Amino acid sequence: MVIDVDKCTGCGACSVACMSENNVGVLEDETEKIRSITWLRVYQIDNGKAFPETEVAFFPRPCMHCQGGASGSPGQAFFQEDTDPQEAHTPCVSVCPAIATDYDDATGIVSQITSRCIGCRYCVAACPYHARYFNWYDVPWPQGTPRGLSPFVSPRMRGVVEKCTFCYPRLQRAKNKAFLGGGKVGEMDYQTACTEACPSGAITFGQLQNPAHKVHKLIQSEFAFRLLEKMGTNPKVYYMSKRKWVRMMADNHLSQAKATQAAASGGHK
Amino acid sequence: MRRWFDDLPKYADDSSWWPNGTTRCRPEVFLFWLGLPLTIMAYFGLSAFLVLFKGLNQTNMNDYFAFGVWIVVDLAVIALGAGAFFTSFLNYIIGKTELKPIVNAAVLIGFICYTGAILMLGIDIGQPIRGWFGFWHANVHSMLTEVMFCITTYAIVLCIELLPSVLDNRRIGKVPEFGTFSHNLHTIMIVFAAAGTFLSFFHQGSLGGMFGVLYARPFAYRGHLGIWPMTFFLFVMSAIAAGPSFTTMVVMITEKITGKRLTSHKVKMLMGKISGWLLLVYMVCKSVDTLYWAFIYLPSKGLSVGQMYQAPYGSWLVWAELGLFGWLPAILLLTPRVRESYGLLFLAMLLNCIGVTLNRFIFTIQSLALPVMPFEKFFSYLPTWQEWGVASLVLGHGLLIFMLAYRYLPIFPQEPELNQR
Amino acid sequence: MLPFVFEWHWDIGHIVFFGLFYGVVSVVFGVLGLTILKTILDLWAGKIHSADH
Repeated sequence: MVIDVDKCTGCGACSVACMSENNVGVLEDETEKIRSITWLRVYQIDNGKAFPETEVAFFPRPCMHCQGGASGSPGQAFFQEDTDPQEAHTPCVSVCPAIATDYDDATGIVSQITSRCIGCRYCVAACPYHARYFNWYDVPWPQGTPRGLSPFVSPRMRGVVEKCTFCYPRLQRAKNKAFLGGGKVGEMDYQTACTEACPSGAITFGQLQNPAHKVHKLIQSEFAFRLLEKMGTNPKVYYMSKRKWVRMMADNHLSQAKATQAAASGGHK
Repeated sequence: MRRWFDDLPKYADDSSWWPNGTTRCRPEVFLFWLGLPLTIMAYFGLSAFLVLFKGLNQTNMNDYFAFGVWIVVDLAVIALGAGAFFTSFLNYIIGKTELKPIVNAAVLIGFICYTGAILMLGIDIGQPIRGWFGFWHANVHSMLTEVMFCITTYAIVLCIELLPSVLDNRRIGKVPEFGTFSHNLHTIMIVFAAAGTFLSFFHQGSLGGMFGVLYARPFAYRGHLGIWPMTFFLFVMSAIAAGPSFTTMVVMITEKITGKRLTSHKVKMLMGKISGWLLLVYMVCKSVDTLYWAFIYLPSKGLSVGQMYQAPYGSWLVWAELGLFGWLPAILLLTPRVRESYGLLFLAMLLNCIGVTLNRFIFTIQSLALPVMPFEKFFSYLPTWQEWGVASLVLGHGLLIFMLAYRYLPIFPQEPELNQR
Repeated sequence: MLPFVFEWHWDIGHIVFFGLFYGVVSVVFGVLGLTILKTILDLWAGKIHSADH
């Protein structure tokens, strides 16, 4: 997936489409943001400058579907790292005690098996993107609304973790269709709900390694970057921006460390 | 003046159940004091019911603080309970039989800590009914899987290790079947001590490994030695340094409350010395680890140490953990004059135990408090009364078990001899 | 746990981990069982230990 930050207006249509597609419920009190579930959250950032120079940008943040094991990964640590390919891992997958989340080598999608999740929240702790959400409450579906839910996605119960699946059920349907039609799953046969919903066309979805797909070309751009690349999570969601400060915001830099530190200590005093 | 309890029937007299050659307080006094742990347990019961019935929304945990006070208390009591495995290891396997007078107490405290931790973990997970999935669908690459397996098994081993003490009760031991079984268990205890050592070593380490493997969390991540991150070894070391201290502290507190001498001061001094040396080794490793993390690892990720400590979790935590509650107790415990003094020995051990608790707190809460994405906000967390209620289980059921055990079981073999009139 | 459960990966970790872990569990329960057996045999043979003796 590639998200063009310069095209994003922050309208939130992607978030709404995602909730509707994946049967994410609305809680009784949605003001409690650190407990509400938004598989695709839109972060607002600014360049920190005063009025005339202020610039604002948006980072829509789905699950990054990290592959792990890329450059800057634990492999470069002080001591040796396990060379077992299973250990070149997605941060959240390797920690789950019950294999309730898994990395699919064929598609690169990080799955979540909610019916197997025991709710220990270790994966939530492992994810630096805050892409994983725990069901703190039972969803109070208003009377009649369950009939309007998508039949392709199971609603989740209280006490389990959930997250963006790149609309995996859509891939399954596309595969079924392709099987019946005798063809292959084409680029446009499998698109996520957020991609379709974006009015400004900021989101592009496809196979990163397939040269025929648009995303493959987009990620070659010098303006493409990913969130927290230094951590070695190797995400599959790329962002694009021609603005340098936006690209700088995607990762931690020592040059910025002093400034943020001063701002943080100033803010608390 | 006649009091109402003077007329209590004779069956309230439980003196025939007390350990040989000891005296205990009157049953009514004992019953009165049992009210304390029972009150705490009632508070726990209410909190646990609310959490299980209404869900984890009863806590103040959220998607930023996925772990809260429960995990801190869990890690802390498991570290403090390490006295059980390490004292058993020294006594049964290394052959340091000078520790014999305190090994029963160590096992009892370990039993309390582990059962408390397991019960709390059962409430902590979102779907307690699926707790067994960790065994059935075990992900052998997860540190948490290893923790689950080893803690559960080690709790069983602790039950077996504690069994002889129960069977040696004056009345129970008279039953030939129990007496013989207890005798046979005593002779084979080395096997259980060895199994306990193996299991404990790995889960103490894996609890540290749990944080060390979070490579996307720069506060917690540490380099690896083999398949284990450095925190694996640091947690083992800090646990075996603090465990003997905690055991001795509990014995000292019991001595002060009961007004009896339970173990000779020589045993306590030896425990202090063991703690001190282990703590010293740990502090050297921990200091090197912290320096490497602060000046080599963090800059490689574009971060500085200053960013890692933000109010309210400021840099005072480092000085407290490594200085006041780290190096200071290590030096104190290694000073013979300090060990000879009852009060100073207690103080040094207390500092040591606070240090390990603080370490577990920092790894659990601060790892999660710090945002990794530069544009993410910083949140702080305070537990609700329900969380404190569940966390106080260890205290409540610990007091209850310890009071009953002290009254009826021969936990302290030196007691009759030390309290002869 | 078992290879027919979905999302199962074969790897050496299973053998090492389960081998060690269940090895220890078998030793613990095996020795406990043997101790109980020995106690029964002792009682049978009249080798009784109790607080009175």
